[in-house]
Order: sequence, then structure tokens, then C-alpha cells
Amino acid sequence: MKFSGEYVIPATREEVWVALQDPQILQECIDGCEEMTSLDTNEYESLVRVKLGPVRAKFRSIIRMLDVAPPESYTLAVNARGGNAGFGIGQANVTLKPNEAGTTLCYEVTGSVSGKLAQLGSRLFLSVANKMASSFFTKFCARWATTQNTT
Amino acid sequence: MATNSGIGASVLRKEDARFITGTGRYTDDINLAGQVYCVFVRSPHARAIIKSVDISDAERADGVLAVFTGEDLRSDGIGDLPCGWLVKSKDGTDMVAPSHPAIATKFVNYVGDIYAMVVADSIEAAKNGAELVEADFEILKPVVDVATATTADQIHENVPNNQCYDWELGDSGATETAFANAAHVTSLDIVNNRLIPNAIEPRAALGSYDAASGNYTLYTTSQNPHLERLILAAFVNVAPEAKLHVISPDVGGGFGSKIFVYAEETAVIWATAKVGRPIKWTAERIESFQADAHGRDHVTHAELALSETGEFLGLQVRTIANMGAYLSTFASSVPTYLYGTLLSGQYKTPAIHVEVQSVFTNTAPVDAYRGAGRPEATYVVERLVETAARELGTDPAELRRKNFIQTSDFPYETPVALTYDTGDYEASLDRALSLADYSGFAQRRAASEAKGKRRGIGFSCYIEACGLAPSQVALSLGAGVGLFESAEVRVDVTGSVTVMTGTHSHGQGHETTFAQVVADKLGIPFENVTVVHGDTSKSDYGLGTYGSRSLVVGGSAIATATDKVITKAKKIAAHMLNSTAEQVSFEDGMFKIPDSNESLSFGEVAFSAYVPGNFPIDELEPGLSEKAFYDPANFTYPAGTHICEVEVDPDTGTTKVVSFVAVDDFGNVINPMIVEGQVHGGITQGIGQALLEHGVYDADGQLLTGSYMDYTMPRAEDVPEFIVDTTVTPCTHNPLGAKGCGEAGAIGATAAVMNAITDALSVKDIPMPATAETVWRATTGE
Repeated sequence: MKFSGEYVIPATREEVWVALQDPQILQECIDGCEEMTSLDTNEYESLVRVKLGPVRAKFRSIIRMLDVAPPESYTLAVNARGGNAGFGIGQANVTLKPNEAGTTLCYEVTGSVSGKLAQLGSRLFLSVANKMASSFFTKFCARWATTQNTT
Repeated sequence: MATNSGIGASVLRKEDARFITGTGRYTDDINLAGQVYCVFVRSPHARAIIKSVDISDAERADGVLAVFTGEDLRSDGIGDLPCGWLVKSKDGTDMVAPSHPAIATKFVNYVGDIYAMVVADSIEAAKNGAELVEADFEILKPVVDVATATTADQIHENVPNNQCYDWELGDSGATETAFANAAHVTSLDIVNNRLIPNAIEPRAALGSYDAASGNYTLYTTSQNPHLERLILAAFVNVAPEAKLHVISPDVGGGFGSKIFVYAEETAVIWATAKVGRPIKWTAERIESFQADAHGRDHVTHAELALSETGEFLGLQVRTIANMGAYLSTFASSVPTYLYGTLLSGQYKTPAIHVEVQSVFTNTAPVDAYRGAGRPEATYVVERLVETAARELGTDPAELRRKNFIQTSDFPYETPVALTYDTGDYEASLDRALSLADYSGFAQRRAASEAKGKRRGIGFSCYIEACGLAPSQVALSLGAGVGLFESAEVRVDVTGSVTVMTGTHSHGQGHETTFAQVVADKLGIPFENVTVVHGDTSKSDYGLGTYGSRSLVVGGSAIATATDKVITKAKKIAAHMLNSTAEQVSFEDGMFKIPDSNESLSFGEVAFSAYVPGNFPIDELEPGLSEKAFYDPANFTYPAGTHICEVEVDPDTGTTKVVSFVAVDDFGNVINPMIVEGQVHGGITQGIGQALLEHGVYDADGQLLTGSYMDYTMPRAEDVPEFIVDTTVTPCTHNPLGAKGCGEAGAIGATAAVMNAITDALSVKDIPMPATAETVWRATTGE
């Protein structure tokens, strides 16, 4: 499963970079995020409640930042355990480019889900993922004022 | 006795009063004092090593009474789930069966494989506890594709090449010679799509244990409670047979999927003693999709050799059959003895050779599903014959007629180990041609074309081997149990009758059909006969219901026991009439002697048997109750012709079944209405397979069709008004002359539909299910 998106954030690349590493900010911006803690340098643990069609799951995820090249790009490797709902494994490549309006953030995600999530939720996965991303960036950008969604 | 409720009458079903008023009593309707609930924790991965399972948090959760893993069962001596049919490979070696623990210990091998069980005082608490079971999996690459399974990674330690067996039947040399002499060879590569059964009632189990007596009671959704008990006692070591009472109350459909002994009821009945409380489990629909045994799933290459004039000379079939992750209870027999043996169809093909390789994959186990092997055989033969007719430019009905086994040929020994006792294939073909107005087809096709539609017609002249099974034949072929049936006909003091049968009704209407048989034979009112089934403490023994065996084998046992009742009653009547048993005749419920106006009713004789004042007490024991065990001498061979007409919209790919004619020979029919209902249901499932249903796993072994959002069941609007008729050649070797009707619809219909669609589209083959997308792509080449 693959999806990607692009958002313009009204802040400098350095500001965006710093905010994206801040567990407190991430928790505030991710819908259903109940915990976001930094385990180590470039490693986080999160607890996120997600509703995927008929499946409600509480994902405990380990998120690792790989190929970190401040303030330009990094890769997120996510291993999400949703209990009886199943597993999710994903990788997101994030790049930040400065522009006149601030910073353009591009992401490309590849991932797969298993168990009940795949059985019931796979057809809904993209729409839920896009909705969550859209909500995240709306809240994230609101930190700096107005934003434009270019996707 | 010619009545409106005897043999041959379309009596309304006794059981429907409770079914349609919602007063049926299914497993989940039963609640026991102190009952608790369990939830199974299932693998989200198709294939993984279980590195550890941490149950500590789950055990401490609110309401949780116990959490069990596979090690708990193993250390308690609970054995693997066995496969009851040993098939040998062509080199003489035994099939290879992997270990199949009820709860996985080292590996999980399909999505839905159980690795823990949580027992709690509510379903909610059990579910919450299940969320806290932490398993550490090392995910392995799964084997999903059946066609390449033998060269994929090895799933089970003891199963090289993932091959269960490599079986053959028939004469390969004679078949090769036939092909060498052929004027024409028709070949086909076809796939029989994987189906998921979808009984309306999900599986369920309720176990209880009485510590004082050591008795276990298991209520479960089984098609064969005695077999369930036998396997749980003798193979799985849950409890001695006499300490294990299995009850299958009302069961809402099975279609084969409830024949098998599953992990869930095994774990439930074991755990109930551990926890000391009755435990209930009821599958959620998602679990049914994941963990009910699936059906079909064959990949086949088949070739038919024909002479210049269209005689069939030889048939060569090579099939790879998917067993799924483990061997389910009867899985091994389905693509062999219920498939290869049927490849002669209705035809005098002199040489047949079939090879079947059964393989394991990381998918749910595959086992018998309505028809079990015989739909797959019919699909191969009838698709091939229809294709041959098209290639030769011959009328498909006439090519079949030319090759039919003739009525004068019976008993007919096929090249694939069966002896057909009787039949009249031309009679059903001719009747079907007439009902389908075959001669008017060209006109109807032209009318469809004028509307921009494409119309096709397809035949299926199927045969099945039913009435499973002659015990010695089955045992010699590797079955682990005999396949006879038992019955007890217990006449009550006042002359009403209670019939105990070892078969099980889960929608078939046995309470009605069997009552008709007994009422007819005894000349008593149909209402006075009560049929009891589904309880190991009530019927002596039984092998349950599948393989269209209930009337044929179970009904024959009932008829035999009823005859024994009559024999004894005649002796009693003779005493009462001052005559001899030989002199006494019994007709329409009355005992009479020649040249006398004196007669006794059945009720009077029954009363005398229990209140033996006027009774030959020196010669006979009092009472009037007889048992019979009936072992069939042969299989029965229902056969018939199905003709399907479809109209395809080439713009959208939508296929509409516009006409469906089924003319079946089920031998003697007890209740035509029930038989017609069985045929309707079977055809609907056959149409479902052809047009709609498909169990799909993705490359990671994830089940994509795991709910009704993605798995399409046939609905009323998908089927036409069926035209159903019967022809009759009574079975020659059972007392009822019956052949069985439960599976015929599903066996015959699929090939007829696909022959019609390929005819409409003028293509050789199109994969099932022929969804609108598939058909549209075939018509547009996109």
C-alpha cells in the first residue's frame, strides 16, 4: 500500500524540522494520539487510537528516524501493534524544501497491515490515512498561521 | 400408504414452525449456570515463528479467569487435531500430515491461527484481556500461491516441498494409448476458485464439566456429534468417550464446514474443566471467514481425447489441490476419492488417468464444501466436453448423448473405481432440453443480440457418488471410520413413535422426511412421529450428515428398523388374532388375517406390547423398539442435466442468469418440496461460485475477502426462477430406492453457468468468478 502527499507549511525549514522532532507537538497534532514519548535519539514510542471502518484499534508504535539529514530529509520506520486488530508496518520518506511561502513538506508512505485490519480495513486504509494526514497538517500548520494544501 | 403425508407427499416441514418464529434453539441460545466466555487470540500473520507469548498482563485484567497457550494444552496431554482419511501417494507412501495443535505453540501458519485463549466472566472482559496478550512474532515469508507451492519455502518441518501427497487413479498406459490414437484432443487449464462457506449460523461451542462425575458436556454446531465425540475422545484425549456427551442442537447450515472437528471446541471443552465453569464461544463473522474450513481451490490441466466421430477415447487430468495450512478432518479425501473417482461423469470414456498433488499453503485449511470434490470433477469434465463440442462444431447436447452410458450398460464399471448401479442419462437430458426450449435458443439469442446483449447456453450433465459410504470400501481407501448409519424406532405405549437417528439436520428437514418414511411404513399419522437427532446420549452412534447420505444411509437404517418393528408387531398381532405371524398381513396401519373381518390397528398392537396382558410373553420380550445399523452396499449415483442460459451486457460485463433448468434423478423422492428446496439452494451456491464468490488472499497471505464488504454471496436477485424437475431410476441397493439430493445443485450448476458465459462470449475459458470486471475485460481485451 502506498500513498503520498505534499503540504506547504508557513514556517522556515529549520522551524518545521525542530517541530517535527518534538513529541509534545506531534502528540497534539496526531488525531487520537494519547502518548508520544522519546525513547532515545531518533526513536519514539506512541499510543494512538484509530478507527478503521468497523475496526477500532489502539496502536502502540515504535517509530525510528533513519537517514536523518537535518533539515532536509529523514525516513520514519513505524512498527505498529494493534493488538487483536492486527499489525501495521510502514515507512515514510519525508523531505523538506524551502520556498517563498515557507516550507514544502513531501511524504511518501509505503506500508502494510495484517490481521483484522487487512481483512476489514484495507479498503478503507487510504481514506483514513489521508484524512489523518490532512488533519495532522492542518493542526501542525495552525501553529504558524494559515496554510495551503497543494495536494 | 397413499396419504397426503406419506412417501412422495410435499408435506410442510415440521421444523419450520420454530425456525420461522424465532424459537429454534441454537448453541448460542443455550446458557448454563455460572457460564463464562472465551475469546481466541488469532495470528495476524500468515506465517511466523512464535518467539514468545506473554500472558501476564492479560491474566491480571479485570474479569479474566484464565489465559491459556498451546503449551498448556500440550502439557495436559491434549493431542493434535487429526485428519481422518489416510491417502497414499502413487509411490505407495503415506500422505504427510503436519502437526495441527488446537492452539499453536511454535509457529502460526495462517491468518486466524489461534495462539492463545482468554477466558473471562464476560465477552467484553475476554476481549479486553485478549488485547493484552503480547506475542513476539518473527514474521516469515508465507506460501500463498497454490500452483507454485511445491517450489516455495517449506512451511512445515516434516513436509518437504509442502506436498501432502501425489496421488493417482486410473490406467496411465491405456490413457496414453488413447491419446496416441486420438483424432482430436481438447485441452483446458482451469481454476476452481476458493470458496468460503458462510453458513448463516456461525460456529459455536459451549462446554461444561461436572467434577463430581467427571462428565463433560459439549454443545456445538456439528454436522456429526458422534464423530466429534469420537475424535475428541480417542485422538485428542479430552476425555473418555463415555464421559463426553456431545449435543448438536439446531444448527443453522453447514454445507460441510461443520463436519470437521475444530480447534475452538477442542479448546473450550478442555478449558471448561481447568476453569471449573461452563465456557461459551461463539464465532464472530470475521472469525468464520478466517477460520472455517474453506472449499474447492484447485488448479487443473485436463485433456480429452476424441475419435474422428466424437467418441471419447481418453481423459487425462492433473490437479494441484490446496489443503491450506493444516489437514482438516477430511481434507485429504476431497480431491482424491471424492474427485478423481467421478471423472468418468455420465460417459463411457474407456481410459482415464488422474494425478492429484495436494499441497500446503499459509491459508485457512480447505476441506469439504457442498459437493466436496464432485463439483470440481464435474467442472473439469463438463467444461472439457462443452469445449470439445465447440472445437468439433458439434451440438454439445448431441456430443454428450453420443457418449452417455446407456441404460443397458448398468451396472457400469468406470475406469476410475466406481460401479454405477443405475441411471438414465438420456431421460434427464431430453426432459431438460424440452424444459429449456433448446430448439428456441437461436431465436432467443437473436433477440438478445438485437438489444446489444450476448446470449449463451451451457450444459452440465453431472454425476455424483453419494450416500457416503460403504464402510469396507471407505476403510480400504483409507477412511478412519466406517460410514454406516444407525437408527432406533421406539414405539411409544400409545402407538406414537420416536425415531433416533445418527444423522444430523442443519436445515435439511429430516424431522419431516424421516417422519414421512416411518409414518408411511407404519400407517400412522405423520404428526405421531418425532425424530430425535444430534445428541450422543440419545442415538446409539452415527456418522452425521454430509455427502447426501442422510436419507440414503440414515433413512435406510430407519426403514430397516421400522421393518423390524413391523416384524415383531406381526408376531404380537398373530397372538392377539389367534393366528400365525406368517398369516398376518400389515397394510395401511392395520394387521389382518385372511378370511377374517378381525383386524388390529398398529396402536392396539403397540399398547399390547407395553401392557402385555394379551401378549405372547413366553416367546417375545415385551416392548416395541428396534434398532438397525445400515451399511450401504454401494454409493448412490444421482445424476442429471442442468441447462443454463445467460445474457451478458458487453458494455458493462454484467451477466444475468436468465434461465436455469435442472432435471435430476435422485431415485425415489420422499418429499418433493424439500428436494426442490435443496436443489434451489444448491444451484444458488453453484451460481454464486460461478459469478460472485471468491476467497482471496494477497501475496502476504492476508485475507482480503474477510467480510461481506468483499466476499459476495448470491442473493435472490442473482438467480432466475428455477425450472426444476426429476426423472426417476430408483437406487437398486437401498430399501428406499433413494439416491440423495443435498449436493446436486452445487455440483451441476457451476459448469452450466460457465459453459453458458463462455458460449455467450465465444471464449474458451474465463476465470471464476465471472464478475462484471472479468467479463468486461474478456469482451474488451483490456
